[in-house]
Amino acid sequence: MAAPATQQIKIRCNDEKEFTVDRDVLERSVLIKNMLEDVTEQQDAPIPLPNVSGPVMAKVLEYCTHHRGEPLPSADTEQSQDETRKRTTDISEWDQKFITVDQEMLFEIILAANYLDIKSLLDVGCKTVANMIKGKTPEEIRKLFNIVNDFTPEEEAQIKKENEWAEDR
Amino acid sequence: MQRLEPRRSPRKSIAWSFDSPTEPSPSPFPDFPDYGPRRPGWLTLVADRLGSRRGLLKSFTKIPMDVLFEIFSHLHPQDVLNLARTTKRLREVLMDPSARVVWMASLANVQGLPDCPSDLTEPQFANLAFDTSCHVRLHLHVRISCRVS
Repeated sequence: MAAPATQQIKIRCNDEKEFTVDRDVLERSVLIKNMLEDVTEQQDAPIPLPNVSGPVMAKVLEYCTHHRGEPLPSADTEQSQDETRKRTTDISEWDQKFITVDQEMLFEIILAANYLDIKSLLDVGCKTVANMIKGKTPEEIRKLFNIVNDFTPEEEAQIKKENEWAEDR
Repeated sequence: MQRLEPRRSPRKSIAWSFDSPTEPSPSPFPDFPDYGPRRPGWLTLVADRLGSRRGLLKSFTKIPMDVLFEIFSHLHPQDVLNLARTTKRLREVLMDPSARVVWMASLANVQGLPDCPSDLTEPQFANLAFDTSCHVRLHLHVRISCRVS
């Protein structure tokens, strides 16, 4: 019997949720790609992904499925891109729709993309958070991330004068 | 038999950074200290206080430093200045020499900006070039000078 055209790989998340996914979709993750390359024989046991939960993985797989077949950035191109690219915060329309999630999910996606080593997804997440911060005052940023001002009034006055910048080098 | 185990992630995960001697909590948000296993009971405490929002904080403080720097590198220098004025911990993080990459990337986002002068640090240069309070100070200075002369 002929082998199936696309190999299916099973993965298991930290909440025991399992997914069976086409190999090329999963290989958007450099972490999983390297793992699969290390293993020559067919494995029936699912790949454990202890740092990702089922709902987050479902989102990540949605991204990987949409972008399947696109060339993965090699280490070389990544390097030159980092050097020359303008750090724009432009995000494609599909990606923008995809990443329109609540903040908790956004940060979970960023963490998963970092762990799974999916550079393009990590980039989309980082740009999205950057866009949220852009143009906001310190107080607005505190509100955004639900953090509290812990500077004393004296320290705040000092910061406004920025006298301490000089001590930093 | 070979067993499938994830390799260590290729990106280095430097957790919320270097402990400073004055700041025992590694969290940049000292008002919500890190609620890891070292503090049993803390999670319940915070959960009660924050209700459904606790996940947000939990996720944000878990973001590794290199990813955080990646996020900040997309910002305008004025945004990085504003971030450094939100909390003590974020200020400490952004004023550390290791955050120089953030300031350099951020300054590089501004087209036509001259290079950082050698006698200024990047944060000083960003402050001089973009911060509004600096301009106010310059105005005051000018006014005082006029009065004296």
